[in-house]
Amino acid sequence: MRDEWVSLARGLSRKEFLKLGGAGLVAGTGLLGVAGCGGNSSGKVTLRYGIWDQAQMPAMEEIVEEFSRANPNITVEIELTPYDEYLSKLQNAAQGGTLPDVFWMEPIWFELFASNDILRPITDQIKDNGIDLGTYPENIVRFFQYQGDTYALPKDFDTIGLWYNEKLFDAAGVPFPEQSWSWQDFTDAAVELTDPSNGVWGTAAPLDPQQGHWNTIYQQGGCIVCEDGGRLRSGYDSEAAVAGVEFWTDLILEHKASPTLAEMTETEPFQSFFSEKIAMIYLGSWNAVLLKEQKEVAESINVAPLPEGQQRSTCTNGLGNVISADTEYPEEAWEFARFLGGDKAMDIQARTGTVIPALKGTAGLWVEQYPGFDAQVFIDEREYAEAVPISPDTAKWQEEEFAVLRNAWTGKVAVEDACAKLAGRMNNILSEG
Amino acid sequence: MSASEPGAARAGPPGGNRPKRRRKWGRIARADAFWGYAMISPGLIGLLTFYIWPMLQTFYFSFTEWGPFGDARWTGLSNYRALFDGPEFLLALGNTLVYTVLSVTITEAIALVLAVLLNQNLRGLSVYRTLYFIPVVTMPAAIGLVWRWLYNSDYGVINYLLGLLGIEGARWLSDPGLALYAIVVVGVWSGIGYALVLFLAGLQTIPTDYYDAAAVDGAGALVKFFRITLPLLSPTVFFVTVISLINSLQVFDLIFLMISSGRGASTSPVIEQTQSLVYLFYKDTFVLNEQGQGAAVVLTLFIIIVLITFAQFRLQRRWVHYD
Repeated sequence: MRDEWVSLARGLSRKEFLKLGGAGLVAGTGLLGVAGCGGNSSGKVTLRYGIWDQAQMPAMEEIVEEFSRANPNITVEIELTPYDEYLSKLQNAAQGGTLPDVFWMEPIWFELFASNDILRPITDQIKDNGIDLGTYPENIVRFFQYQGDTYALPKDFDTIGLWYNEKLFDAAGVPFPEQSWSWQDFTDAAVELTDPSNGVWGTAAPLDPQQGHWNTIYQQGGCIVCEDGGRLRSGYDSEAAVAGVEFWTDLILEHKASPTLAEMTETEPFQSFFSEKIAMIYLGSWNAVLLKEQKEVAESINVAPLPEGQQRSTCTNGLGNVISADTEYPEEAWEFARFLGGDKAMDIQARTGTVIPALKGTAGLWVEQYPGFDAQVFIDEREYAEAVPISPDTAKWQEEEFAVLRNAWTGKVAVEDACAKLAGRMNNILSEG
Repeated sequence: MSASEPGAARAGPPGGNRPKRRRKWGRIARADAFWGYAMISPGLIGLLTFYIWPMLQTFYFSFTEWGPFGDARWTGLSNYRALFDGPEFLLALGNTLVYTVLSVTITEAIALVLAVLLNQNLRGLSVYRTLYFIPVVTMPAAIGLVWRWLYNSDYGVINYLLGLLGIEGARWLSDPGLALYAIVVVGVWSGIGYALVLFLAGLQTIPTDYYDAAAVDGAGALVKFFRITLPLLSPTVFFVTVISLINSLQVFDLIFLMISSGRGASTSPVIEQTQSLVYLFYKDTFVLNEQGQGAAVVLTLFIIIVLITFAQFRLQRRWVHYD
């Protein structure tokens, strides 16, 4: 049987072999792989790579192409799933045994996956290949470690910046945001910039944790998920959290300097910023590539550090490329994951301006792609940045976070009461984990 | 072993005068049955695999709790009890019923009037009939997205047109008091064509003699409509009602497409006032990853649909005329 397959494979040209069709090809190569006598050319492997960001597609395609050039026997198929469906798709795929071989992982979901043995540790490969984890930011490396094992090489990192439209500032005669801005400066400017007759809002206060209230809670010295003697508890029942949330709700309800939550669900603030109806907006560094594409607006926008609360802070996050525990091709998947964490892939991510690459020393190249923006702000902010909240099942309490806080955003419930209620629900979930 | 005569070996207990004939008929019937089953097997296997088996599984899952990656654990009735823990389920049930009652009655009323108007021999009627049917063959996703733009309170066409008339438009999809009704309008718009086509077919089976006879007796258009058209159309009305009720009770796509925002529906201020039972099922199952809870929601909906449909068949005797 083995001989038959081998002679069949040898007797066919590559083109004819491909003509045998997908299923036959996979079955055939699988058998050849088991037989272990295939030459270099016959061990063709196709890996599936799961990602969620359309904006990063071109860079990912370029990386895959580069990888296949170096590893002609491995093809990589990129599978794009929108962010909102990404987590549930992964969970269902894990149940059905159809996870992509390699895929993007959010730190906030990581523990859920690692603790359920869904991911393949790469601790040994890192050691065997002499990879120095010190070349990556320490906090991102730690994002993807669980019980002494490492599961991913960092892909990128991000921070949040205050983007603003210079044209709207000039029109209102307000000086541009700068490093020294306090919360008060920001709020005052937002009020001044608001011009109902032209439909212009000073800012937008969406219910968006990572690009919104998580930052301001950190800036008041608060925490979202706090560690108390090894036990996790919600940080929402604190003055810092109430102040951090009120910063946003006040902009809508009190100062009328932002569209309401209802208005923002109909027209996303991001879109309104593009159409020059919003003067200032908190947006993550990963949006730079989209902002730059908006040619007419790009010229009049710029970015500044987040205003300072009781202290300086910004939320920081970073992705990793993880390997599925039941991948058929652990060797090849590791090769790919390693490539994704290597300098070539980092270089492509930086050169295309896609995201700030994680490998130390490559962020400068990303900044260079944005001569029109003070993109260095995002790198400098890392000094005081704080990580997104990590817990065993973040997705679960995040849904509560939205459900409870949206009533504070519409003014139906007082911020203090909403925060207390949310803390209670979160603590229930955190204590289960 | 005689494989060609399986019937002979298994013939029933001997006795009576009929075994001989029966055996012969049995063999033919069996052969027929075999081919019959063989012919329907593609459909049957599909039905069993994709409908019946998942239904049984869903029934089982509704009594279980799921871990983040599967592993159902038996928890008895706790998922059903959890339905009544908060107001969410009852709100969703209420939304579903309001949507269903409004969309079914309005759709049928409009479709009936249009069907009577279109049931004539006039020029260009087929164009109208086609126009009314277009929404039916349009993808719900497209309908949801287009209407979402039409409704947009800042840039939408509806508010723009109202503005031209000097009327300030409402926030159709983000005002908690309006959103559900805005969705009903879309449901009606997209459902009229289906009811219309069936009503038209029903109208054409009504013999014209009745109308002629009524005209001789001096009946006006309204009398004709209520005394002849409506009773004779009642079987069609019944059929359309049963089908549209079932469809409306399962409303999901319009809500999903028109209410959710960038971060899903979670940040929408109107989601509590608009989410239907199927939407709740979707949220439990695919957002919260609580498959057991989701199964309990759809199973409850299933029971509601069965009860309503059963009641309709019992009540039809009172108003449906099959002559």
